Amino acid sequence: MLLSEVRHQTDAHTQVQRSLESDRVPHAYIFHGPSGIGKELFAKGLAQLFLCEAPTTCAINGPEPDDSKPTEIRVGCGACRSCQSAKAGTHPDLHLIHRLLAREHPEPEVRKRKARFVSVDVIRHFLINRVALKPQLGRHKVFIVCEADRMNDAAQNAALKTLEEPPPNTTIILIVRSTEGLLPTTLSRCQIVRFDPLPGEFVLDSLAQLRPDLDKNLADWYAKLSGGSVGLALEHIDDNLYAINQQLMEQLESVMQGRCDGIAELWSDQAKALGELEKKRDPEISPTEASRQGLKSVLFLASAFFSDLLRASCGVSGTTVNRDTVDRFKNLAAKIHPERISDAIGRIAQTERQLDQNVNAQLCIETLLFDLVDLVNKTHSPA
Amino acid sequence: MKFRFNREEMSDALKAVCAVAAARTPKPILRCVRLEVQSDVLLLSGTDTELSVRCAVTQVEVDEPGDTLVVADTLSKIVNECDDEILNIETDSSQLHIRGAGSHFQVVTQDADEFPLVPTMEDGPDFAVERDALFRLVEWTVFASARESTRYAMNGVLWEVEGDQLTLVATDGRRLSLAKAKLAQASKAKVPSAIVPGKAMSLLSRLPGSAAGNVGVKITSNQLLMSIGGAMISSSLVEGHFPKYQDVIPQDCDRIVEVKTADLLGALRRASLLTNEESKGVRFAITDDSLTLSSRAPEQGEATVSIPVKYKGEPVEIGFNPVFLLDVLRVTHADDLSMAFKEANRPGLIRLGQDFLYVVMPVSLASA
Repeated sequence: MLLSEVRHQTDAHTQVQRSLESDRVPHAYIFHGPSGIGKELFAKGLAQLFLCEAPTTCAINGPEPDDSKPTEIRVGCGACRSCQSAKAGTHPDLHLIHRLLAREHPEPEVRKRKARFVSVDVIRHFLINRVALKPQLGRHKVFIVCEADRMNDAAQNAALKTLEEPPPNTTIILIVRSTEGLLPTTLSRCQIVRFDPLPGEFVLDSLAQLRPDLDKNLADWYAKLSGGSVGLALEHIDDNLYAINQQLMEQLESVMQGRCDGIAELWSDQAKALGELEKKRDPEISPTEASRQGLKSVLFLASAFFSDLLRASCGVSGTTVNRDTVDRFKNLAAKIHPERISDAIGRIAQTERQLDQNVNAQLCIETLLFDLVDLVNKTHSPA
Repeated sequence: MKFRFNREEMSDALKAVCAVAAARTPKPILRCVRLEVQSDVLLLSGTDTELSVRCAVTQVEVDEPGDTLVVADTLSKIVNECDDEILNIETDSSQLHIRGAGSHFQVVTQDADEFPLVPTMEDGPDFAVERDALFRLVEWTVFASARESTRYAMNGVLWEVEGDQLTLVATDGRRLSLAKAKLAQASKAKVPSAIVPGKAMSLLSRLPGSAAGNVGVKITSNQLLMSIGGAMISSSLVEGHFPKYQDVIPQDCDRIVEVKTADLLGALRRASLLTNEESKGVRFAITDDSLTLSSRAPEQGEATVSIPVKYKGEPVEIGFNPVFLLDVLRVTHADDLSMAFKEANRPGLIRLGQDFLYVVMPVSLASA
């Protein structure tokens, strides 16, 4: 859990280390970037450094593996009692705040509610109330708010005063996927640290370590699909998206040939199956929301397919996910104008937004499929 | 680890530990009680990291010392439900066996090394207060402290020691409660003041032990430790600077009303029946030897209640939130008290001898 374990986040490292060196450590950070790329690990590593009894330095390599210029960064020692209890998750001055803490809230009313958001009750009880206490071991205290973009407005407003002016020796880290969900008042009170997607090879290496049984080609496919996120790749592996993708390719093949009957039903079935898996991951999710998330995974795959087509028709191939399928469609892709393909991708993104706005899922897919067929037909018909 | 113990003593000690050992916590180890068996004593400790308690059980016969963790709630229920006078506890590598006449429980244990350190009062207390006196101070102040306020310092109760006097102060910005008591044993060195979370102080009354006796107190830079009998509480302190409470206490309240506590409590409860969120205020109209409380809730109705008081002077009209007054009247336990006012827009003052003082801000009467 050391800070040095976070790889390929040079910008984040540089930004944070610089503030440490100049002794102007902000009391609140926002770590933002796609999920599964090391934000939480970084936050915990930073917490360990703050809490460590004997901080030390450590050299990490630059962004490229063969970068000869290692950078010195400050890290926790990893050996003292404080570091060990931070690693074990039992450090009394390291507080992890997440929406499911609502279940541990003393008020039964709060426990009963679905914990879809980081609620104001959680923020009041677990952040505002605890921030007021002196550190137990006397050095520092760190609060890490996971999924802080799921704080609703009330929760964010409640936290404003604390973010602006926490007691001395307190650091609050908000972890978010994107800063969009945060109020401007929250943003302006924190130093924002951006995290970038990881390089493909690193994701592949991590998958080889974490899932050694996974076939190498499959791992490659998952690594590319994840777009540089180990966490997302692992989720996709658990969902067995590859198998779903195989079926999807056939369905999209018929779409490309102008037929879309029956596909909408197949997609909703898949969405339901994926939703069940999502439910296991997040027990607080409602059935509708679960199948909506499932459907989004299907749309994500479809959008990956069209991105591949677009790459093929523009002659770029480096990051193609579905190489073999694209080879099959090469001729077809050549015939379709790149703009049409990009329209298709845009249309899928629009559907995702509609799903977020509670539009009927079945209707969404059906109109999407009709539109996709339309786009393809337009290409076939003489201009 | 192997020992026999008196069930009732153990049950009392476990109750205190269960009050601290978190029933709901993201860190499962905090649900546990630590059993430390030494040559002639069993130490039980529990913590939620902010607040810790350690109780000694002395009626034990130890065959083999040891150290283990079990879920506090489970152990407490087992010990409560048994009706034997003496129970046996023995551990093997992963389980704790509790044996009584005809019953045998096996409870899964955890590694005691992972349990957070529960602080001890190493070089004795700084000062001591009589138990009953401290309980009274706690009762008089805790209710007035703020909850979950972003003005951190007001979330706790201020402890100040000066000479041989302990002063506790609590405020939430709208009322302030101050209580004093003489120390049973004064401190030799200067004791730093501390802001203590109310939770730790409420726990004090749940500790086992005889009613008489003194509470030893020690204040460190980040903790307050209290020991009584064989039990000890340690609590994290609250950060920040407590408001300058001396400036809040009005010095010029010259309109003094003497009233029977029970009369006022009853009258306030009746008058507050017709208040609501929008009009919380109850109007106090004081004339010679009479206090009239009136309230009005829009679209509901009005209430007027009069009680006899001792007052001579110019009539006063002033509005108060009845909740703030009911809170204090419930804990005074005195037959008579005195209220003092200056004007309708100045705070009111309630006094109980020299030891207790309560300042309450008035509400605007325009809507009442």
